[in-house]
Amino acid sequence: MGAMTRNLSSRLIERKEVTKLDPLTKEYLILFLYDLFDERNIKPSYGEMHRAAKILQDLLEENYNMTMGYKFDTPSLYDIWDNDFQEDLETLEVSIRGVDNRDVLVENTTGYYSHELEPTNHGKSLLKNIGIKELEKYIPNLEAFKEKLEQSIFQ
Amino acid sequence: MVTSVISDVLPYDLDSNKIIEMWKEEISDRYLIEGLSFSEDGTGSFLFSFKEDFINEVIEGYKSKNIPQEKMDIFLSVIFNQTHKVELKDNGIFQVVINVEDLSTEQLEMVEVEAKFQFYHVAKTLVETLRKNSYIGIRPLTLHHISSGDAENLERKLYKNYRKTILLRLKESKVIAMEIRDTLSKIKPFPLGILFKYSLLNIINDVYENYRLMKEFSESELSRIKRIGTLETDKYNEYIPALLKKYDILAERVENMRDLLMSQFQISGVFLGLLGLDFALLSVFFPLLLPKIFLSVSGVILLLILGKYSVRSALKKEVDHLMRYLNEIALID
Repeated sequence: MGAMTRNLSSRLIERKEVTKLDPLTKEYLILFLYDLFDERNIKPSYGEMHRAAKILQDLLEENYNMTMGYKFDTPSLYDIWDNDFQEDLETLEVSIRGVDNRDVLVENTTGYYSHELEPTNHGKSLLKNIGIKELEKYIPNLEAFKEKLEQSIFQ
Repeated sequence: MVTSVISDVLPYDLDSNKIIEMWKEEISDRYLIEGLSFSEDGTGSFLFSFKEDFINEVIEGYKSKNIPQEKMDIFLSVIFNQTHKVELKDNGIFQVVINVEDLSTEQLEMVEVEAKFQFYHVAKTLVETLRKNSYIGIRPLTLHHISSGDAENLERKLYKNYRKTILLRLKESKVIAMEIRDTLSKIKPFPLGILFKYSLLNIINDVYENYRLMKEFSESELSRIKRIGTLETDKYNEYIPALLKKYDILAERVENMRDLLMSQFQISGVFLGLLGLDFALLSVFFPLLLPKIFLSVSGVILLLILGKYSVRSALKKEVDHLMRYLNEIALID
């Protein structure tokens, strides 16, 4: 009986309501992630962005009961990958030119590339002038959250 | 079977035979092109494979990224150690068909993601050949729209992404318009207070840039989707041009807002300078009665004139117009 009750309560906890963020907020969160890398003069690859976004989503779910709705379980070269997230990254590059994507030859190869991603001035400006304010509506202590996120990503 | 489809690889009116021959030469250290077969209209196909030296480089690349051996083995056997049939179509599509056998669904999905990136880079070398030989202009081709599936899938994906992007930007414009309206109401006294809200101009510049980019994006998407044209194209033949017209109006409204704000900054700046001068002179001539009276009166007059010059209501009107157009756009379907 006791075990049954425990099972039920853990299932109820698992079912705790998680709010799915809207696409625009998701876009600002992606720009926010790029900004973290940019502050350290790092131009992440797609693989690094997927990994960082997974950390961000985990923190959002743990601390704010919010999710970007990615699953990060698409089988790929990397352990952490989500095709929907990849589409959102590419949309940000192509439509509003928020991010520059540079092909970089992997050392000692003639045609095997990696990608270096970097927010453009327009992307940075969108985050600074509009995005941050919008994010603060969902994450009241954005600075503290940023610190926590940085620790998890760059540890 | 996995199919990678990449759009925009070839321009219109191409002489594929000549181009592919040039490309074949340029990439001969990495890729092998065989069995060229092109018709008069520029469409055709060839067999494509990766050369051994290149495959060795790829293995090194995978190792440097710490990719597990079992994943590497799948990519090598399915993507790199096979010969693939590539089709080049007159609509600029570069389509690679990869034969896969005995793979689980998960492995198949993994191959799809990897093939998409690998053939994106292959197709990019073809675009580079075109550029080097002046077949395409200075404006670079984006080559971002790569998809697994057939050309019809790509077209659907393009249209879906286009709609999604437009809705995002619409929502963003509404958020910004409300933010501007809210800020305008809070600035008191407006003609002086606005000088401390320079960020408003930055926001307006961001919105303007968004409309400019959306217009550019819409035009290129319209041309790309039309060119692929495997689906019923009526919906975007109507939808995108209707949006393009609205963008012009939106951009005009935002430009008006920018002009109004700029003129307010200039006038307020000049008056603030004059007031500062007046105050400085007043402090110098404070002991003398006549200059003191004159400077005090002129200071009050300056404040009164400045108080009269406010673009707040004109700006609010522009924001209202902007909101109305944004709502109209939301109704276009």
